[in-house]
Amino acid sequence: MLKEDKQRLEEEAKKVRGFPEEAEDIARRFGLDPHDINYWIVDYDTMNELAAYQGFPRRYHHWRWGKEYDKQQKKSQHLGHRIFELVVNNDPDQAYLQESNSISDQKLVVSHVKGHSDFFKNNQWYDLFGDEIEPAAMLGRHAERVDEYIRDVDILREDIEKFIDAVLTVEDLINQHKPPRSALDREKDESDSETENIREVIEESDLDESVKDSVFNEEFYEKLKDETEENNSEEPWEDVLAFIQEYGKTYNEEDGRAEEMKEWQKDILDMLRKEAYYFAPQRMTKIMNEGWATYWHSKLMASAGMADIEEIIDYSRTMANVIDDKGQEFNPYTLGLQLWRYIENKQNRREVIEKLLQVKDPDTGLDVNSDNFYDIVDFKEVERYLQPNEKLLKAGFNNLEDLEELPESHVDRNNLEKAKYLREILNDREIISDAAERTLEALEDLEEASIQENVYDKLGDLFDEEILDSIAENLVKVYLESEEEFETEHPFEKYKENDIFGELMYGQAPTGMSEVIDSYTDSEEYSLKRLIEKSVEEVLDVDRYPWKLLTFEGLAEKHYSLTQPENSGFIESITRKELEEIERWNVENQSKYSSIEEALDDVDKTKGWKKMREEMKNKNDVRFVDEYVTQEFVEENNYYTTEHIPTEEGYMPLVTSVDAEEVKKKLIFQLTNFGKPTIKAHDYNYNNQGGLLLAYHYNGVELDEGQAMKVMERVHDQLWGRDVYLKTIRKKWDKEETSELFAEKNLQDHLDEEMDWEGRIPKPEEEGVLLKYDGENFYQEKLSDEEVEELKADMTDYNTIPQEWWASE
Amino acid sequence: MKSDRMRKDVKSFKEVGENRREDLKEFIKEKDLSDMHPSKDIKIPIKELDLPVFDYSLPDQGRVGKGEGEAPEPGDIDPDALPEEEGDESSAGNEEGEEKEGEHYYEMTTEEAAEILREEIDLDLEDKGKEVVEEKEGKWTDVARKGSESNLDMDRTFEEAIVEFMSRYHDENFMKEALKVEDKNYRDVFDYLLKEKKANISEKKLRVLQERIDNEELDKYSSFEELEENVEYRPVQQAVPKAKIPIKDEHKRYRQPEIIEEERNNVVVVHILDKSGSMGDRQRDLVERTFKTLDVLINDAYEFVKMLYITHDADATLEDSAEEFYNKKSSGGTKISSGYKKAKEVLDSRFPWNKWNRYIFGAGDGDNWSEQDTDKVIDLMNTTPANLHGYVQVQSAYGSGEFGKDLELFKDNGLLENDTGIAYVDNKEDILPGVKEILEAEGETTHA
Repeated sequence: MLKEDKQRLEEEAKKVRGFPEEAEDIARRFGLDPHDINYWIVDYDTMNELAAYQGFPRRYHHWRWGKEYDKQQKKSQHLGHRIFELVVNNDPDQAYLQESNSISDQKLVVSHVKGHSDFFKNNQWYDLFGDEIEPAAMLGRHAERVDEYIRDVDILREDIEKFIDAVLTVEDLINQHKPPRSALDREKDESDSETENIREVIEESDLDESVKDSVFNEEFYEKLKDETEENNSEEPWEDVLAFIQEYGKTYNEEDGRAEEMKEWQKDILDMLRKEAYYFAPQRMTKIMNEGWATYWHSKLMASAGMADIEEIIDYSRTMANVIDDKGQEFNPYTLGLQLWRYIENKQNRREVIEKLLQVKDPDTGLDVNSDNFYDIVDFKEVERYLQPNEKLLKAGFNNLEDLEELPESHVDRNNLEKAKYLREILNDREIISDAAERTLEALEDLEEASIQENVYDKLGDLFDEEILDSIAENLVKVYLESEEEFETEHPFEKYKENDIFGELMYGQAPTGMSEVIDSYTDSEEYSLKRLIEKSVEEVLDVDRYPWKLLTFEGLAEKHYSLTQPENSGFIESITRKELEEIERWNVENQSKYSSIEEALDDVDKTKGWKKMREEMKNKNDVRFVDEYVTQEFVEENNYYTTEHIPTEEGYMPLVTSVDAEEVKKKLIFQLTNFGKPTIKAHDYNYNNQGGLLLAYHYNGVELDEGQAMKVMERVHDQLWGRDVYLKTIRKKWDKEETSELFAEKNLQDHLDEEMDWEGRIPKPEEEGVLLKYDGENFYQEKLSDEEVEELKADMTDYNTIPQEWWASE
Repeated sequence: MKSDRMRKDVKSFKEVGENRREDLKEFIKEKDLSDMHPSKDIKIPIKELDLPVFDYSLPDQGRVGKGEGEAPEPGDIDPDALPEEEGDESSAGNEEGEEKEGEHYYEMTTEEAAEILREEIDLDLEDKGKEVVEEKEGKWTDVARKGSESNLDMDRTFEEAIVEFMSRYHDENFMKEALKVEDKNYRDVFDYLLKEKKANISEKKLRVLQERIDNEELDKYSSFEELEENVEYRPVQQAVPKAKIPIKDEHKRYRQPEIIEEERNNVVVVHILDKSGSMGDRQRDLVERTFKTLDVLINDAYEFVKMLYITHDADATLEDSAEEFYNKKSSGGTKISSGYKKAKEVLDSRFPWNKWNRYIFGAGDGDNWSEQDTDKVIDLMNTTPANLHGYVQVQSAYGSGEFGKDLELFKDNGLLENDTGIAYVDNKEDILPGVKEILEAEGETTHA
């Protein structure tokens, strides 16, 4: 890197210095638990390069990274696209900030990344990949090894590339719901643990010892284990990559026969499988993860005073950009954010309703229940009563005493005490004057010792170390400011060791430094007294960062979702069904409170955030969308589903539903198994000739057979070496019939008439097919219904054509 | 600056399907990124290459749509239907590619031609080391108040709206309360607000507000300090995130290319084209391909490139855009000197030789009005210093003129002061050699 470049990036880094620490502080108060994060400021090209390499500095050589880079480069060059954020799950996580971004964008990314890091650390799907804790190191090693193979004169570079390409065509075929143990282990472990489970149950049972000895002896367990193992090996393998590792060969073109894979081939296969497992959790949780990070960065940035005034403009528009989903079916940031907010509100509402259902109404003497609920409860009153405590909202130097009256759990006692101490100093004119005078003395002795030493020496008996350091720092800043070497655009800058600031603070003062500071602080707009005050304030500036006085509970009170203006009316909008459901859980606690106020006082305002956390830990996108996409959500966004019905003239794109369940079904279809079909390995010795039998587990949607055949060719040549088979299911449409329907629909549209679809669409025949590739040709064979029954066994049909539209068979 | 590692990966990507990995050729698709661009009339061709994977049939997946305003009714034909070609089942194959090749291949040729040439000729275009401040069209970041809706810049529009909101923002409640401080009139309050940076309101408005306050309330607070203790000032930071900010017409901002001034390494490329009747579509197409290939290469070598376009028949016009340039036709006669005269005028007034690298490329069918006019052209070429002059002669339906030959004659006799390359392009195959011919002429003549 050029020297100027390096300097430039260092300058840039100074601008965000200090901010990550503040962000960490508030993130923890909000209950987040992120990894440590290293931030890197990088230039444009490096950012594009890192993005192309999926966030890592070194990947194995392959043209696809070149492709991504090329595309990224063109996008930024011609379209002004920039990469919003780049963070890598690596503990410590690595986050990249682009140098030319505005200061508010940098803060935004720092905040956003906190959310991601929390997610990486706590979402359970990331645990599956437990044995490889250093992905960057792993990927770097893989790059190294592939480099070695490339350098090896006995291996053709093109052969390596072709082999990698072949593995990439099947890299989705893993079992992302299980840890990536080696193939053999997988089988053994499963049968072992099943046997162990049974053993445990039996041994802990009340069976007579003699029975245990004679019947459930070691022999019994051995047999049991053998049986389970046998059963398991007949189960199809979802981890096709492992299956290939176990039984795969490669095709030797010269003698036209299969041969064992070379060491380098086995090695690359193993590496790529590991990488596929490493990236799987991120692909399974995209919506949740982006939503989570967006939810928390908006809390960090907007609500907690982290952004400066001019940054708010910037922030607001970046934010508008991030969540703008024009022209997309759905944007993971928006969808995720909306769903998280919904969970928060829903849980908070549940808590309020639970409490309300425990009230015995003093006016009527009735227990509140789902029947009289709307009559007794005044929702405007409830919302007003739930408003956060005024005293808490006003937290700052002027209101410290008020905070004492708040519930113990809401207030950070340590910081409160510290703030009081600071305020005492700030209010004491004498001590400030005294300190100002002594600071002057300290300046006079600058030739003798460093600023820091002098300040400690002269003011040491007045203040504690934090204040002394702050004073020394501010003196240096004043010096730099007046020398115009230092710009104070960014109030959170804190210069520490290793730069000019450190030298001035701890080193020998340059000649004239004291005069410069002296004359500067003598000026009208700046006095030494003001400098002392500022220094004291900065130790814990609770006016700027009032959240430093609050705990998780305090913040939950302050940010309580149900009293935000945009959520007004949310409590009232609860459905009768949900109300009754809550009531059922609640029967035992009736008449616990004698007034609504009393019940509301007992509302736990942290419930929403706690529920979000719980869901964040356990769910993946499929389950997240499944549980929280609702009819309101679908209606609000005008979502609908379409199916393409083949006709002789092409496809008839028919709108099939606007129902939440159907839309959700399609969304889930796009998310399940990375939106790709489930292909399992069924046999390694098909037809007794070592054939690989793959099968598509049908879910109502056809395969793209053209692509599938291209994959089979590559699997044959590189990964299996022998015949490759694929069982699949085809849909046969009566196109003559559908064409007529289409024509009729067009006519009806022309006449402005409604088309009645009931009983009109001819159901396509589902036909089993076996494809075979022998290295030269493809063959196909029809299968009987029985032969493909298994493939349709646990079928969820993702087709959304309403039942009543199908013609009877 | 990309790393060596990435450089290699990019190179191996570019080579795929070209001079190696024939097996991947069938998966290469040419795509255009420009639908993401605010103005759709530019093309950003990109080579796309995806490996085959097990996937669902695209049409059979159906889709989730998002209605504009409202969702369509079930039973309707989806208004955002899947484009016919994408629905084609044989998405892996690419048989239909050939038909379209003519048009489709076009943009790639210049890029790729340049790519090939880059490796073939040592394109050491010489920077004359000029100290230059240049105006360059930058990215779409500059913003105008007028423009077409497709160029609407939402970011900036939003920003304008917020700025206005902020500039008008004042905490009215606080102002009203401030007016209730004992013995303070609106002027005092105004001064106080100004001092506390809480102003943003005119004295006049304060006076109006004051008039509305009940007399008995006028001594509600004894001092400004007391006011502050009792009334919280709501700063704009707190107001913005929650406010509904109206976006009005006057907030709208549109993208336009930003003009940035940059130093050194600047080049101006002048294109001069004979637009007379003998230049038919085929001729123009060949010129366009040749010029664009030259442009790409020069673009590569210099940081800041300014393109000028001049068409001429017997008179010359400076065109605003490449599009106009390549499409302008006239039926007039041909005086090549008119084009070079125009070029000289523009260059001398706006792109002085001591500050600019210059490339001047002419093109036509070689036909000229008279030998006297050709002499005039030589004169103009000699008095218009440039890194390189070039002339592209294409064969027209009426045969080719003598201009190219004449130039060569002058050149061979050492009568041209500047490096000059001459190329004959009669069909597509001649483009690359022609470009090479022209560019290799640079550095032939030693300048005094």
